[in-house]
Amino acid sequence: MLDPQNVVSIAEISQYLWNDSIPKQNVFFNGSIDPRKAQQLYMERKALQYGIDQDLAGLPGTSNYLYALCGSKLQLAIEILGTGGGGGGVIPGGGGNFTVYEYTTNAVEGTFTVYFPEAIGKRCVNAFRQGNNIGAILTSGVPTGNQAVWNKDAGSLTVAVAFYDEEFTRVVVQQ
Amino acid sequence: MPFVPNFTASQYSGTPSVITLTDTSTGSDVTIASRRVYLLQANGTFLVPAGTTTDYIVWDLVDTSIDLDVLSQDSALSITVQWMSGIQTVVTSKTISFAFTAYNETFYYGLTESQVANSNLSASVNWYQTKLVLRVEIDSADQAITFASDIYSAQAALNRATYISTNQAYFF
Repeated sequence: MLDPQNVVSIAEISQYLWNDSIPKQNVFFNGSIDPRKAQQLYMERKALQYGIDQDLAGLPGTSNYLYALCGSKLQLAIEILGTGGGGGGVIPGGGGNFTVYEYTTNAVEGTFTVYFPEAIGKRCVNAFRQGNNIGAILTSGVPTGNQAVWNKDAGSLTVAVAFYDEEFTRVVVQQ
Repeated sequence: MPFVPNFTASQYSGTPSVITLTDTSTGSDVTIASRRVYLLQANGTFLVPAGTTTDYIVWDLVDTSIDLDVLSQDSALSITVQWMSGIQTVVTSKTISFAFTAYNETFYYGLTESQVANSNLSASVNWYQTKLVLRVEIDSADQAITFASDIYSAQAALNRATYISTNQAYFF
């Protein structure tokens, strides 16, 4: 059985997603398939929340019903909720496994390399550092200027300009 | 440590007529010898269990919580707990407003249960609209309490919700 509390969270995110998309569909595509969707999600979520609070009978059925009601926003809501581990995955488009994860760390002052053990073996699609912009992300060689080198075997990011004390660094990697 | 008065109230779906008060005060005050509860309704009268002849209910100090079987429908109450001295003067008190919504929330949950069994019900405009109104009234009561401790507006909303649930045959 799905964890009802999780379903409440997923439904709340789905409600927002539907609420966001319905007006756009009305403007650009001459109306939505179900304009009541966001409202309905709210109504049934409130019922499920009460059922959870009071430990009422029938929770699995109510939980599944609400889960199904999320419709086409379900998958995105699950991804936003971050049940995928790491820093929470997002699916930028359909087809294939495009799931990406984000990892962060704080660098040691004066060093040029930071390590992300959980990202070993993955392809780096973007990187950020708090102090300086990161330009091209190379996979070999020696970085210059604002370049960075991603070593997927070591899960390391090497930059040309040394990190300052506790500099916040982030990589986005693809599975 | 100085005495800081506080309490909470709860209500359960299976026994919606009963509200449970729990004393969550901290600290101590040696002058406190007894405790009493007032349940003020939106119509200005005090709610008491059957057989009680005073406006208040005595809540023994030895009991951390007390069950009060007083509700016959969803109600908004302004609850005052007074901590009294041995000569029956008020040492300190605390007043908190609550919306007790278990009757209508349980009915509302039942509507969703019916939809689980028969999802076509939500396609009925009558079903859907009335259920939506019920939700709005329950939420209105909660918000009147949360934002303004307004038991009058909350009770008005709960009365409208109760009208729907007690006349369900006409609405669903």
